[in-house]
Amino acid sequence: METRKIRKFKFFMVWQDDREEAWLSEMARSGLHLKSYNGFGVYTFEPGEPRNDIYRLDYLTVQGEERQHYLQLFKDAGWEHIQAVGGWQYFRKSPGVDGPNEIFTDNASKILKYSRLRPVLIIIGVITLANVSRIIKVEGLFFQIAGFISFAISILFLVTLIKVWLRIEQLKRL
Amino acid sequence: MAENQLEKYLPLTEATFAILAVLEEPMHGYAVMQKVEQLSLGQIKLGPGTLYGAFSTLEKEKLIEMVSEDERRKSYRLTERGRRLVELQSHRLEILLGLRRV
Repeated sequence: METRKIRKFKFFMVWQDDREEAWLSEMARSGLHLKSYNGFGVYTFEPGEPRNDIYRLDYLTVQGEERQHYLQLFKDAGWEHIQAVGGWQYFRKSPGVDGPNEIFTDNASKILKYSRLRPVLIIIGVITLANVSRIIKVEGLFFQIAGFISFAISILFLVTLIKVWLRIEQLKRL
Repeated sequence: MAENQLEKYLPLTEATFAILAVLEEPMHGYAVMQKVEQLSLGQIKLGPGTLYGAFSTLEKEKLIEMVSEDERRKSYRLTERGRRLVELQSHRLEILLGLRRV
């Protein structure tokens, strides 16, 4: 029996993960349950009964056996792993199931999560920025445009880095 | 001696203290969560994200060590260093509570 799938397009910035969590919970309350996310704004939902599920995102890159331990810990605590997208781990939990209704129960660990993003943002930002000068030197409109796009992307990463840094500082003050 | 070295960790967060306190006995992650919630009469809850991060950090700082692992779960236990840290923090908390005595 084939289940209907419903796709929605929505774009959340890296620092808006709490808004994304709230939106996914809202979808669940109206009967749409996250099946997968393609990492570029397309969410696929399975229609069903409305549920009060809690959605939470972690950011962690881990592989192999260590990854199994990580997922098992969440599973034991009642959290279902939906998908991993570029380091972002999507979890959901029904409040009725045994276990804590938050994945982070203190600020120190929330800060750790956002801190894991910084090196990635810095590296990509620096690489795209370094490429700008190389691309722009090449003759031709195509390369001028590509250089401009590269520049825009590195600005985006810089802004994201600043926003993440601010979020960390905000959490530190609590 | 090493006490000065350990003092840099103080004050411990509630989550850290709770985890160290129950790891006198070897336990895996979910057992730690349940034990802490049970012994704190439901006042202290540990989320899996918090616990995973704490285990990584505490293991790196050699305050806990892995004692066994099956394909699904790792069990940890306090190290001697971790035990001294719990003592240090407990003593500190007693001193603080002592300030309330008129």
